[in-house]
Amino acid sequence: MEVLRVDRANLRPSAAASSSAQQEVATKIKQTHSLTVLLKRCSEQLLAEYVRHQGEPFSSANFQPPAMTVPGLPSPPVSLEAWLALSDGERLWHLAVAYAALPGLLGAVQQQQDDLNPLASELHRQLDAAARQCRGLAVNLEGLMGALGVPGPPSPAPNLGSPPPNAFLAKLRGYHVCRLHRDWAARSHDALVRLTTKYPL
Amino acid sequence: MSSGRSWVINALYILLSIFSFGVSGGLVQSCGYIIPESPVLTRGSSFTALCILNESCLDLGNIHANQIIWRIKSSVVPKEQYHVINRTVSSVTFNDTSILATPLTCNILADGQIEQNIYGIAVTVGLPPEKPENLSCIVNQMSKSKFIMTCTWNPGRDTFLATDFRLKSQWPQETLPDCMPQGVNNSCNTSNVQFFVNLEVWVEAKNALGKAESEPIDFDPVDIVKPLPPHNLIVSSEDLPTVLKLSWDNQIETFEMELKFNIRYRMSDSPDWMEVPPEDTESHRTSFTVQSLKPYTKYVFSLRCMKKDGMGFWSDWSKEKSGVTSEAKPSKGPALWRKIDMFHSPNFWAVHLIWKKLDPSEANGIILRYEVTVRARSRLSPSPATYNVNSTNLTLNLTNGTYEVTVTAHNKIGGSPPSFLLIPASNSKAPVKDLKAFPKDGKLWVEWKVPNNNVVKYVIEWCVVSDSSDCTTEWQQELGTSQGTFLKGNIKPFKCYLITVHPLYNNGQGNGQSTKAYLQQSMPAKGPTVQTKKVGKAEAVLTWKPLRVDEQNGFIRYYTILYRTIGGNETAVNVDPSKTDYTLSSLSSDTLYMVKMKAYTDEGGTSGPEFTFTTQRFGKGEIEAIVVPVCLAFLLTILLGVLFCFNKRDLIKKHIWPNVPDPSKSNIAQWSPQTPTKHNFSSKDQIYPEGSFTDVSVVEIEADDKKSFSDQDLKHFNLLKKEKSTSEGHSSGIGGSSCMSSPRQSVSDSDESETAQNTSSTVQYSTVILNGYRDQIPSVQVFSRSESTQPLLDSEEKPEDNSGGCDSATPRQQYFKQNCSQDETNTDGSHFERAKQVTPPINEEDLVGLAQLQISDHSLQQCGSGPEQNKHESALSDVLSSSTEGQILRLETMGINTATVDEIPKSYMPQTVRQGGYMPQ
Repeated sequence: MEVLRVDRANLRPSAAASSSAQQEVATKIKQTHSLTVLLKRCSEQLLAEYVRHQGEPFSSANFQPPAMTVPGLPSPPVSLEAWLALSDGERLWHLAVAYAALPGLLGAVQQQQDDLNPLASELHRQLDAAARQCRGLAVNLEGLMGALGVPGPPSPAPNLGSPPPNAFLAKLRGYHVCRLHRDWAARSHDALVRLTTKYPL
Repeated sequence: MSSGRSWVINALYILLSIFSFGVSGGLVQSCGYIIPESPVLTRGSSFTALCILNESCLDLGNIHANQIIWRIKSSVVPKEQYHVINRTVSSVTFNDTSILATPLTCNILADGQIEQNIYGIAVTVGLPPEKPENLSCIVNQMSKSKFIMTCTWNPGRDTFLATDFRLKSQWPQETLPDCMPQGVNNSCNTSNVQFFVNLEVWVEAKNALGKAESEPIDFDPVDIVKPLPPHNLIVSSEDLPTVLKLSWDNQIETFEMELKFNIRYRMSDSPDWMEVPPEDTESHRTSFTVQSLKPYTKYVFSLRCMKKDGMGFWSDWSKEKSGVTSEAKPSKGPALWRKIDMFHSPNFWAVHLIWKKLDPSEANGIILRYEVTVRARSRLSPSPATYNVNSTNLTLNLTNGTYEVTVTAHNKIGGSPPSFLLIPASNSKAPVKDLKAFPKDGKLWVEWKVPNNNVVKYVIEWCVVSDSSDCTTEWQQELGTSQGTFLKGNIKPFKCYLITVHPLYNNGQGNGQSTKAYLQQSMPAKGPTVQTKKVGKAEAVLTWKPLRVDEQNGFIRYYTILYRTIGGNETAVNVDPSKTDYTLSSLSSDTLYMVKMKAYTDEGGTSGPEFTFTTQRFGKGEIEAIVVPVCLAFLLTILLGVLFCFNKRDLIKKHIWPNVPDPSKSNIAQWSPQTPTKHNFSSKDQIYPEGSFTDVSVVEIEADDKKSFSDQDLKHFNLLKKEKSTSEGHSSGIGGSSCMSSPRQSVSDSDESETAQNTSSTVQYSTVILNGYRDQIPSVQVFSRSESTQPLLDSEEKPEDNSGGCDSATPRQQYFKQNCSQDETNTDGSHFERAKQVTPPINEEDLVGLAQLQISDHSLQQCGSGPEQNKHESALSDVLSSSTEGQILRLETMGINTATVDEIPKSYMPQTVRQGGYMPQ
């Protein structure tokens, strides 16, 4: 905690920092990058696992429901160029917002799945892991933003919206959460790749 | 369960409270209480408790707080620790709580010294927790996607209280759920492991007396992982015979971590692992090609992994997998050697080529065949003969010469370099020097010095030397640079090995040098059997057979001969082992010796059987030294005797073989009147002058006898015959019977005498003798000699007095030296006195004795010549007196006496009878 505060004070992108502090930031970035790699991979697995357990129409190969907003979770920029066009700080900020909301959403999905698919233990494990990973990424992002001097986002309102009125909608909500989770994981990975090139070890 | 039980207890307590409340002031009312209630105390601290009496109880009697007695369990707390605060409150103070125990009771001594319990509390004594130390964590991979983090710590001292340990953890901005140890207080497992987020963990220990926290540790869990080892390892051979390719699956995802590896391998028959250089396997991978392996060799592999950057822990080693490298050409030709038999003729050899199977490390595959080429070294030699052989030997019949032999081993890839051997008839090159063989490191080591630098290789042959089996040769080949080697083979202890080293040169070979060695020596199996070859008085030559090789069990260094007498000290002599006999000297003569032999190797000795012998009483030549002089002396004596006899032959003849007068020419009438005259001699002096009687009177006696005795004697003889038939024995007195039995016999007996004797006179003599003999029968008194001459009558009385045996020492008895051991000197004197008077009995006895002695011819002759003249008798007496062994002489005397008896039969016979008991001797 103490260390992070020091980082926050010293490590601004424009500011010249001591090499050891830079090393700290680079290490942090690399660690977070590793986490985004993990997250990206796991989120893809999770979405596949989720779909597999929801039955028709989710499990059909060409199931492509229209995009749907999930209350409390912003959608990532659609195009990679637009995302990469943002500054590091902006990207981190967006990520921080998204990952502040994702763990709760994933937790809600897991609760739904406990009822809908109580025997899908691997799905439950992956949902549990995904929520933990998202929390971990949120923690890392906060630390990174502090180290880089990026102001943190406001605390998200614990507004998860009203529970879905029926199982299908619950599944559909879950599907969108998992898909958004996958998309955000990809975006976070892109963002961290950028950062690792900027802050090499 | 426990909560249910506590609920029941609570309910009971409430019920009891209500009851007691309802009956307060009644039967059940507590008279006081203690504060604090159920304290938990730190061991070693001080503690004060108060007992407060209820006012209501005070009214019941004269109760005061100073009557309070404190007890720990049943023992009373000393009054010094009490303090009465007021009438209702008493306190007790303990400076050290470690003496406290449950329950601590407050009691009161009421009237009548009856102690009543007021209240009791439970006291718990313990310690606050210590700060946990040495916290460490490890993340174990349980399966591909499951990781469990285990943290361990040192919980510190025993607190004696229920102490709660918790592993607390947090992310930088987020606290994570605690981990609660299950059944232990020094470790905790959690499956909520999130890689790539720094985690801070610490341990909190808490009990009723306090709380302690360990130092926190901060780490990314991905850096403390012990991954599962790679699995599905596959080993596959490549085209190259020196490489094997490994491939495997990693059990951790690359997006979780990248790995580095350790690969180890060994030959399947070796326990020693080799390792691929770690720098070659530092990168994440799922396969690796191991190089620099030996062809056609089975290798065993296993590997392990850890996080590529070295953080965390190595996994366990994977399961072992084996693979075999591809075949390659044999790397070396087989070791080649030969045996040459020249049994038929010197010009033809049977050459046994022998070679060794290649070591697997040299064969590089399965040897399919051997190719042997033989080329004669001569101008006319044809192209080399080639043989393909599956076995490891080949016998060739070759003519005398020099041959070059090569052998190559072939496997499916190709052939080995050729092994080369020159087969010469003779070994003319330099042999090795200073060949030695001895055990070293439990094996048999052979070493030598190089004869020169041109040696290509050495062949070492060896075999077990044994009496029971042939020397079956084994051999091995060594490089030309070596100067020693261990014998490769089953070398047995206690066996004698004959080791021969042949140096091989490019153009020939050196003479084999041999030595013998044992891998391990022992005491001989038995000792030598010793025996004597020759035994003398003071020395004995011992001989033995050398031990058989099979019995030696080592080099016989020396023999020890141990010998001793019975009860004597043992003497030991060491003997060189090359000898097979030894001479023991300075022995005692005629003594029993026990000897045995011990044969010694370096390891000890073994005794052979014990052998006993007795030394001789006389040494060599001693007997000869005694016997030869004795024999010589004896011979000399004989010779002297013979010479003497020769010189005195006339005299001897005169005495021993006197000329016996021919009875046929005798004239008894002329002789008869002379007899009395003759008997009148009373002394020797009278006899000697008549020494020539013999010649003079013989014939007359014979004639006289014949006429005068014939009739009477014959009659008398008949009488005697009758008596004889009734007598006890002695019927066959030899001399007597022969003389008397028949005239004819007498005649025949006397044939040897020079004259043919008159039969009747012979009968007369015989009769007389027989009477004498038969006189043993006392009743026979009928003898009468009609013509006996008177001179003997005088003496006839005397012999009757002299009855009995030898003890009476009559002159007659003395005369018979062989019958009575009396001095002959006496005999001499008295005999001749008697000779005049009692001659007849003497003669009778004499004859019997002679008969017993079986002196036949001469005695008979004397019998026949018995009736001699007195002159003759006196001459004989002379001889008798001078000779101690006068058997023959006495015979003569007898004969004379007999003649005398003819005239005095009656007076003379009884004496003889009385003396008959003497006769059987």
